[in-house]
Amino acid sequence: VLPCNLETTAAQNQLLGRVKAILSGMPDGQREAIELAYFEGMTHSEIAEHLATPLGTVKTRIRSAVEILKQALA
Amino acid sequence: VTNGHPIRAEEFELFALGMFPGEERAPIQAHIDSCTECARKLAEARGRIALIALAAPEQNPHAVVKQRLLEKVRAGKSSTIAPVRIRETRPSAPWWNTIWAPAAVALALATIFLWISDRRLDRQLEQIQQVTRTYQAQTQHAQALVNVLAAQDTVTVKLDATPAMPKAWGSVKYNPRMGMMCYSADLPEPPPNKVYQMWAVPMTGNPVSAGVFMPAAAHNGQMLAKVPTGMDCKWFCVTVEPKGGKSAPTGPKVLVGTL
Repeated sequence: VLPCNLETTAAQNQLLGRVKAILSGMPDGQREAIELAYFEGMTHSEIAEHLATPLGTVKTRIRSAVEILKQALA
Repeated sequence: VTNGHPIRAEEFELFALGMFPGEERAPIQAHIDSCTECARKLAEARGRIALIALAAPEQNPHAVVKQRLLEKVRAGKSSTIAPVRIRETRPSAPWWNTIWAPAAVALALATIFLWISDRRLDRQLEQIQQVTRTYQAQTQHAQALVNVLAAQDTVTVKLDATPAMPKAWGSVKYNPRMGMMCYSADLPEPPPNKVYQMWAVPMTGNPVSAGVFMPAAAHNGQMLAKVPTGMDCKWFCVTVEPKGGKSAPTGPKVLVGTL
């Protein structure tokens, strides 16, 4: 169990809200690709096959999604 | 490769996501293991990527999921873990349960004991009732026999052997008022699937069956039969009939007597 106080809880909630907002603001294809990579552990190729999307497109979508997330949280 | 590092700064998140294929991943991982700067960047990237999990819709998992997860972490491997038995948390039992629980057990045992005793008594009672019914039937038979034998108007008819069975003999005691007759006979064993049948033959009309019998029963005791009261009976005869008897004589006469 981690120590918890009002300040850290509020900060965590704020961060959670931001992440949710970032992900929900992403285009569907981007969000779907990054969720498959994270939650399902799929590789680029598997995601491409799963979404019936070209491999290059999948790579771009994931790269863009990660970049958006990184910049938003910077 | 940038500045001696095999991975660019913007690629750490992709590496953390597992987007690098195996052949590329191994040398990068080897470098990160030995490079403090890259290890720090990867840790930061993993932290950012981990935030994706926070965006997943929140659900309340079953308690067993947490327990399994902790066990999996402890085991440190992804092998199958035995199912966990869910233990419900209950409030502590009140003190009087310490009295009621033994009392309930004792009561249950007493109930079982009484039930078994009851079943045993039922069986004994049934046996006694069966014996009583047998005695009652024997008593009624004996009483009826005594009534016939002791009655002043009972007549005795000697049954004579026929050429079919020359050594046979028998006798009938008949009371037309009571409509009862009793008889005994000394006969050999009948042929297979055959029995002896006693008949009371009136002056007019068809013979009336007075029952079927086997020699042992007729020799050892009196056979008692009911016939229509007031029947103007003149003849008695014994015939050999198929097992179960017939409604009218069909077999050979072995004993015949005239009133």
